[in-house]
Amino acid sequence: MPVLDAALEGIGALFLWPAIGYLLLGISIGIVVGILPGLGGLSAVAMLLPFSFLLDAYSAMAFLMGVYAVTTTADTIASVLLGVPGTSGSQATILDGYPMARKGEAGRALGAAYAVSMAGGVAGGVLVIASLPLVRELVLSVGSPEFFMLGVFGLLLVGALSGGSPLRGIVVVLFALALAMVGTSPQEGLPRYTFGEAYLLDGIKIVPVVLGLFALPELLDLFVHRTSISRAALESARDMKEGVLDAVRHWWLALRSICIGVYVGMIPGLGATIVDWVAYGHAVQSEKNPERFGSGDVRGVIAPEAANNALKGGALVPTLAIGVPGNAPMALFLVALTTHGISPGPDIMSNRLDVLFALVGALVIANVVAAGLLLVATPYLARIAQIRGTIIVAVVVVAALMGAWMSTQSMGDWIVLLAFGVVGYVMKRWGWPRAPIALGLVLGPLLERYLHLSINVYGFEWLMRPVVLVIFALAVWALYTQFRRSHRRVRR
Amino acid sequence: MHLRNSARHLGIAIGTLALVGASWEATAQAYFAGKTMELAVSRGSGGSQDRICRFMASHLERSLAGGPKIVVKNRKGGTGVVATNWLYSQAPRDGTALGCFLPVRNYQAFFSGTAKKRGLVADMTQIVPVAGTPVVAVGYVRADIGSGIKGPKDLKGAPAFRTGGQSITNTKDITFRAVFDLAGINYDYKTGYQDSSDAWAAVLRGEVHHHSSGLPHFMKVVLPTGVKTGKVTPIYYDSGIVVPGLEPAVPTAEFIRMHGGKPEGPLWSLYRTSRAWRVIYLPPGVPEAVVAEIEAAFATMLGDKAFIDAHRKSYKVFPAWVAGRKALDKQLVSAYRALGPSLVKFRKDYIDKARR
Repeated sequence: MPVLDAALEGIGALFLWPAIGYLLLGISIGIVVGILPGLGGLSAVAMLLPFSFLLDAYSAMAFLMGVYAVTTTADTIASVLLGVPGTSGSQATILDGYPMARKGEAGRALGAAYAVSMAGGVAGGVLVIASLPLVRELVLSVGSPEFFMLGVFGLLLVGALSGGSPLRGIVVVLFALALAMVGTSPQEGLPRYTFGEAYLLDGIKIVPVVLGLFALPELLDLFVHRTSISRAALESARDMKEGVLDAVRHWWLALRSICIGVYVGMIPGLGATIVDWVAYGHAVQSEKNPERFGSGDVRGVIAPEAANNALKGGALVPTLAIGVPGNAPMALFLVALTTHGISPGPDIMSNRLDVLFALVGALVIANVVAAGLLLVATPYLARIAQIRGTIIVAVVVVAALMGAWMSTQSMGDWIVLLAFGVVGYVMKRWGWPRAPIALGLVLGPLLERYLHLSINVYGFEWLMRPVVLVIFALAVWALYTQFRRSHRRVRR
Repeated sequence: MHLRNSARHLGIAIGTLALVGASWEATAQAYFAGKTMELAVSRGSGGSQDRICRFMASHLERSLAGGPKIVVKNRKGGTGVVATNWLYSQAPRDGTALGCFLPVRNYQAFFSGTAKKRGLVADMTQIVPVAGTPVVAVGYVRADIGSGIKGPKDLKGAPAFRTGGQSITNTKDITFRAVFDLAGINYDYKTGYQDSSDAWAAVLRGEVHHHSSGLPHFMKVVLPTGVKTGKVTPIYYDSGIVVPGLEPAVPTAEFIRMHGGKPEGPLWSLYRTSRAWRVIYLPPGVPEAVVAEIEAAFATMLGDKAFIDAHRKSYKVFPAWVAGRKALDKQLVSAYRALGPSLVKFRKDYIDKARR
């Protein structure tokens, strides 16, 4: 099938009834799911997958992509306005988004976030098409040693997430790596540090940890001070326009973050939980005046929000090209595709290019529509930051409890939430960085698995692989620059 | 006269049966009508276990008289321990709670006396299996090993190849190691891949040469992107019967014989007690009539053309589910009872050997 014909057929089918109706329905569901803390694209796609089996192939793809594509656009609302991550892909947005809301710049933060989310989704889709001829080689060139070294690189971003105190960041990330050892050992399959608790057999869940670390201390703060989130006057509409202009001003950062999102997405196994941290870390390391990050800098919103939407396009690539899901929701897309008689690999890449274009088209349309809808709603949403803190606290505590409960639906989730709420409060009070805990918990299992596999499969020769050496050199350079900046700041 | 009496007796018997059947039908209708049932799934949402359990729940809803609503709830944790403990000790015992599990490791722990260490409080002989299916795994190797692998026989004399597993205690790892050891095939065991997708990517990039995927992953991913493109060759599958569409792969016992081995002895027993099953259970203490009604609903459902067609569409294979306690006890539970002290020790030593 000629490429242009396939593109016209696939994208054109999305505008026909009932596919367009299902796409809009999917987008609406995705926005609601994104706004609710603790839910995410994976839960939503998993719940709706059986329904998609009843639809024709185009409608099913449009519906599921509509849901999945926009959760990381809508999740910014909770991250910015409440300091609670809407999904696991918007954890890093809190670091600057919430302080912006507290300064009365919620509209600006949301405006910037929606603009770059839309750009990320659209550019991600375009990059997917451009990358297809190269994808096989790219994905297959990353083996266990490269995965391990990418994890190390991610871990060494800790300095950038430590608010100018890399040493404290390293201490915290080591603590998090120790916590990541709790659960069932990946190689032996035996319980480790679980103290006989069945809840701990699958390790400590990231969602209650992040909700506890970030949301509970802020809620306590709001409750004690009995103020609204924003203590400044509200000028949402003007702020929102300013936010969109911020996205244009920082187009180079947005573009770099989009590339990070797409290519992290293409590497199966890395995925949504780290891409926002990687993009945020990159922004802190590469931008001027890094000391402004963490206190309400719009660049700290632009980088993670551009990356987490772009990731979704990237994750489509290995899923469709070689049948290796880029992340967990993509595994469900694979199920939907095969149920409709479309196989990944040569079948879709040669015989069903129309489906590939339909998926990319749905991704692009969903991002544009969702950003448009949310931009219209932002002046009203931003008023949440003006509501009295005691009311917000009640609502958000319920949302945080619900979000944490979704992890395993057991009391253990609430115990972890409360325990890390205490840890988060203490860390906030004494100026210790909290973000490295999330980074360590996400990367710990990945590092352990791929270090073991690297040594087991390649012996110590894995250290000599060219890509490993290049990533290692970049990681060392990143760490060196963080310490140099910190040292200079201390001297000044 | 004799014939007339017989006809009369037959008529009475049929009438009585019809009345009993109708009254039970009415009772069952009344029993489940308007009820909401829960199906506890032992894994998180979105995985293959979750999908197939939801699929079964949606069809069971239609097969149970009275049309109850079945809500699927993910009670994940401890590879099935959390859900099994819930079913055993907390679930209502009136037929409105079911569990959909992969119970092999729980049976192994229970019959080998290591349940406490695993956190398992459920008595695995007390929960009631009402439907189940063996989880068929298909072993495949890269086609470029040695002078080329076009079928299972070509592995004879091939150089040692790297197998990719998930963990040394994983049932899939134990079964494929046992198959290769029984067949006397040289292999270099590597493990630690997160799941079959992760291991499949490792096979594609040549990091390992062999993996064993569950049937849905094989049919949906490996077959179109690996077998049809000539990159990998399927060599065996865990089944006692021939499954069409998996050629040139052969059932494991045949694979072992093909290479001069014998499917017997403790290693074969270990293989048989390590094979995964997917089973739907009721908690202990459910009234007998309710258990029988649910078993009958499963039996009806398994013969229903709409169910078979939907299964073939979703999973690309004919459903191999078995309904009823007796059948499952024979095929599943009794096999695990064989896990006496000597086989438990053998299993532990076999796992330790891999650790070394």
